Amino acid sequence: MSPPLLHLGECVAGACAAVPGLQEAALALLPEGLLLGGVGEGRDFDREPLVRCAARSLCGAGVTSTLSTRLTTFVEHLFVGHEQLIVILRGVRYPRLALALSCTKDTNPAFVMSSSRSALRSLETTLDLAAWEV
Amino acid sequence: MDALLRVEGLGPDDCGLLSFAGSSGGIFVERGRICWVAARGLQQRLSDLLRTHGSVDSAKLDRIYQRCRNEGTLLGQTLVAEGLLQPVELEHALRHHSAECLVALCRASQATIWASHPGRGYAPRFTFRPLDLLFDSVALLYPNLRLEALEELSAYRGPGRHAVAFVLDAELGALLPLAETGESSVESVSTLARSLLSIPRASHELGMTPAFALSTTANGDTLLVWWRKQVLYAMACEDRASLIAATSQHLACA
Repeated sequence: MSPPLLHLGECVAGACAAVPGLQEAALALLPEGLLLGGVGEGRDFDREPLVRCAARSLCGAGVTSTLSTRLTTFVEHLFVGHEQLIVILRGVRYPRLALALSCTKDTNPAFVMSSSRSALRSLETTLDLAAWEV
Repeated sequence: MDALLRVEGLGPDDCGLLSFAGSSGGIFVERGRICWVAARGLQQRLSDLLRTHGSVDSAKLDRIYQRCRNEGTLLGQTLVAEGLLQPVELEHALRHHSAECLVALCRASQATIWASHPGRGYAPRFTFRPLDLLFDSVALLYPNLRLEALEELSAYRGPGRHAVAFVLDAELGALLPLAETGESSVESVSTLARSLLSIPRASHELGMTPAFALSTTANGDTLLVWWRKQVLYAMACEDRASLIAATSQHLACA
C-alpha cells in the first residue's frame, strides 16, 4: 500500500521548516513529475508549476559545462526571480526524488540552498518510499 | 553542425575536402582548420566580398585570379602579398564568405564525404576553427544580437571564466551559439545548447523570467545562466571565488 499523501505532506513541512522565507515546497517523483507531498498556501494542485519546473529542469538532455566535455546531468538549480527564489534539488540517495521550493526574495540564497539540501537529506533518510518503487 | 563536428573530429595532420552530397559544395580543411567553404551558386560572391573589403577593382582581380590559377598559387594570399588587400580584410572576407556558404549548405540535411588531399600551404591566419565559422553563420541570421552578445560577454571576461551566448530560435526550438569567451569546441557548445534548453523551459513552467539561475551538474560544476532579450548566456568558472563575484554582480541587479 502507498504511504498516505497526508503523512508525506507533514514530513515535507517538518523537513522544510528551517528553510528561511519558505512559501511552498513540493516533493515529487521523476521523471513523471508526480507530486508526493507538499507544504504551503493553497492546495496540492497549486504546487503543480513547481513540480513541472523540477521535471523539466532535472530531466533534460545530458549536460556538459563549458569547462569540460564530460557528459553529466543537472542536480540543482537556483532560479532568482524578481519576487521569489526557486530551488530545485535532485535526490542524492534517490535520484528519482526531487524537492522544489519557493522562498521570498529577501532571503539569503546561500542559506536557502544549504537549508534546502538539509531538508532533502532529511526526507531521504526518514521517508520509506519503497511503496513508490523509489 | 554535423559537418563542423566531422571537421572537428579529424586528426591534427589531416588535409582534404569534406564534400556535400550532390556536389552542392564542400569544406577544405588543413590541419584541423577550415581554409574555405564553397557552395554552389556562391562562387561569384567571394570576388564581390574581396572587392568590397579591399581596394582592388574587377579587372585587376580577374588578372590576378588568372595568374594565380596558372601558377597554382593562392589568390587571397597573393592579394595580401602584393598590397592590394590588408590581412584583416582578407580574413573578414574569407570568414564572411565561408559563413554564407555554410548557411547555404546546411539548409537541408546532406551526407558528407571526406577525401584526403595534399595541403596547399594556407597561412594559419587565414584559416579558421570550426566553432568560429559556426558563430559567424549564426551571426548572419542575428547580426544585432551577436554584437550585443559580444558586448555583454566582454563584461564577464576574466581568467578561468568560460562563457557562451546562445540565441533562442523559436522556429527551430533550439539554442544557437552566437559568441564565447574561452576556448570551446563545436561539440561542447552543441551539447551545452541541448542541455541548457531545459532551463528556459523550466522557468516557463513557473510563469516567470528569472533574473538569473545557478545550475549545478552531478560532477560539481556550476553554471551561471542569465537572459537578455532572446539571448541566453551560460558561464562556468574554474574557481569558486570568480563564480561568486559574477553571481554577486547579477544579485545586485535582480
